[in-house]
Amino acid sequence: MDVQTIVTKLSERFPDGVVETSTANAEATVVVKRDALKDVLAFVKTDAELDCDFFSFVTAVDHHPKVPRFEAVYEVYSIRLKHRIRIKTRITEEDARVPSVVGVYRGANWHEREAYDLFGIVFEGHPDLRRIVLPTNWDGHPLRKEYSAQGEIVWNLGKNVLPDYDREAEETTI
Amino acid sequence: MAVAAKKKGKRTVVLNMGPQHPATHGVLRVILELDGEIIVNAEPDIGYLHTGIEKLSEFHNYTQNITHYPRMDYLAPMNNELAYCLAVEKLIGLEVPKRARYIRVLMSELTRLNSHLIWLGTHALDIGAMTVFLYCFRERERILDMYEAIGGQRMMTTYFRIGGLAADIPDGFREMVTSFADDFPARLAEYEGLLTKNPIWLKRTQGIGKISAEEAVEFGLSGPVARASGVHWDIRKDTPYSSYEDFDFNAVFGTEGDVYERYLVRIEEMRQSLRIVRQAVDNMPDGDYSARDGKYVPPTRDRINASMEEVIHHFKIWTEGIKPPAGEAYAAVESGKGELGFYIVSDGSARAVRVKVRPPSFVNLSSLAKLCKGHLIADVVAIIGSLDIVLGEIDR
Amino acid sequence: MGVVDALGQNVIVTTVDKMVRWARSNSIWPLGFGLACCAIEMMSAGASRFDIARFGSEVFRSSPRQADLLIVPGRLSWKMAPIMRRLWDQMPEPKWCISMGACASCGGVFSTYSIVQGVDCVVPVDIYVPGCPPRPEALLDGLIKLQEKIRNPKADISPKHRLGIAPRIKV
Repeated sequence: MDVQTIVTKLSERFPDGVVETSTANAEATVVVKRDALKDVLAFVKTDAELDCDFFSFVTAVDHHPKVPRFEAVYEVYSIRLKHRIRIKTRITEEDARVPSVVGVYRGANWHEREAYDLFGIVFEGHPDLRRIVLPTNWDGHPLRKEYSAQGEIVWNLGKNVLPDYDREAEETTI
Repeated sequence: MAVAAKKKGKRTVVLNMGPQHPATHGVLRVILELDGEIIVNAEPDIGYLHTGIEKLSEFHNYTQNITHYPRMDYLAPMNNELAYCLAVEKLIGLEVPKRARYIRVLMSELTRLNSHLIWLGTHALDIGAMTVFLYCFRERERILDMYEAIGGQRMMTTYFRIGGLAADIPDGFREMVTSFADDFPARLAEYEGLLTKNPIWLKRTQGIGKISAEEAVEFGLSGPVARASGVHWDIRKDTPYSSYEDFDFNAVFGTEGDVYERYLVRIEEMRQSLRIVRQAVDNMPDGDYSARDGKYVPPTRDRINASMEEVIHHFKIWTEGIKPPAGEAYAAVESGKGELGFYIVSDGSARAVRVKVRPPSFVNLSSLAKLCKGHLIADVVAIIGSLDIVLGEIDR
Repeated sequence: MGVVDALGQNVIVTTVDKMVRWARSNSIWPLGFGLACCAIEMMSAGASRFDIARFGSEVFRSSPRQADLLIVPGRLSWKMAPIMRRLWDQMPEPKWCISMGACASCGGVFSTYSIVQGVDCVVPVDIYVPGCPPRPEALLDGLIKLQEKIRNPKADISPKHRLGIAPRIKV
């Protein structure tokens, strides 16, 4: 299906949900409202003409200082029909929550964990939302624009790097 | 390091297959929950190589960013560069000349051979066949010699640039490739002779780590792992990029979806890559090795000497950096491991707003629990090897 | 280094000490510890073309209890740092450390929040091998320099950097 048809089909099916569409760079992109997100994704998966069974990725983009600040981006692909669709939704900094789509696309699990880890966006309904690439006791969300590339806090210095062998000897029971 | 624990009334043992392990292909930690020797759950714990490449990409300009990406999937460095360059060229709308596209295909396929050779060597080494490891590295040295001839460096060449290539192929390169392509089939037959009908290999790999095609698509698996399960998808065939449509090769599919099938699929893929390599060398068109759009590609010295406009382009590119138009683009390539994609968001300035890498190994690894369940500990090693993961890509 | 540490400075032990140091330098067994891209060049150094075994490193031991040398190939992240420190502590004396590549020596290309800017923040390093990645021949050169250092400990004039945890300067 060519990109213009995809985009038109989605805007006709969800007239309230779809906020913006684009076919720039020969890619079908729709911006939807956060509440319509799960329905749109379920539709692109099950509809026979779109049939997007493969979940490519979900990530977030930080557009600071623009408002709304974050944009969650979902990319899906149809193996049979060989087309890609990109679905985006915009969320504000104060209310950085998005419904999790793990129920629709199982492959979204780790991607959502990573987006939570690096951006701090909470995916509601995710079965196991915790940090994945950073240590569990890390502070902050590095891919936000205010976080410097070199890091803000000194995470090292003894308590996180040098293992405490005495405490471990006490605690370990075999 | 093993810590035995009574877990919630069930008699399971939690075993840590730590980040330092001879068979985890990098710094991967797998937390195994065992009932005797049978695996109940295998949860990967990643992040031990997290580098913040995506964050760093927002601080460097588009040309400097190319240096980060070969260090992600370090077994197949040029594939990453290709995916990034394709995404930026899509953003700009830049047309790459045919010669550059053919050379890109040639180097991509050599990179796929590189990646599959290491996969075969380390996978066989984990299961116990050490000879194959040494043989594969011997072949790999020849490919690295070619990398060195073309890019100056054995591994992280940064040879692909936005608009084409850094330089044309040197004299004698085509002879190097042809002589490698002549020798390689015999070597591949040697590895197959050692493994394919070997009863130990068959026992260790057949029926292990099975996944069906529907589940593979559900998990988001791609590459040889998905194709071995019967998913008919090869990006080079379905949505060709960089002139792949000109080449005659077969996409390799399997049916069983177990470790042995993945092994067979990758061996056959190596043969098909060799076909493409030969075609690329034989049919190489003449022409330019890079696009010559002065706003995005640094002009060569002779052009700078001849034209004032090119001097201005040269100055602007090297001081400010190239500025693609505002927008976003996603480009995916078929790397040796699966769908490797780059999603780039640009706001018209010299630095990207967001560079998102879609790593195939990240998604392939998420299916580890499903693949390992019900097997023995020794099978975990075979399964991780068959997934062909590289931690640099998973953690970025 | 050698017998001198155990028995004290004594003219009786000098030749024995020399022999022990010679033996140690010619049979350095590294730990099989691979982080990132440099690990692949380390594997190439162990493969047939460059063959680290001819310098005495016959096997890469998987267990730190049986290894002499910790080669740190690749970028070390803060998440991995405690584990590497633990591996270092588990290695019995005498032990040495080669920091292989730019990322291990100083953070390399990656000046980011999650990468240790030089593994000498976590373990004491004897030899730094530059490169990104260093050629296997460069690693072998580093190994040869380590062997010379083991044979003549007094000739080593560089300060032995004992766990200098460098504070991160806020940028």
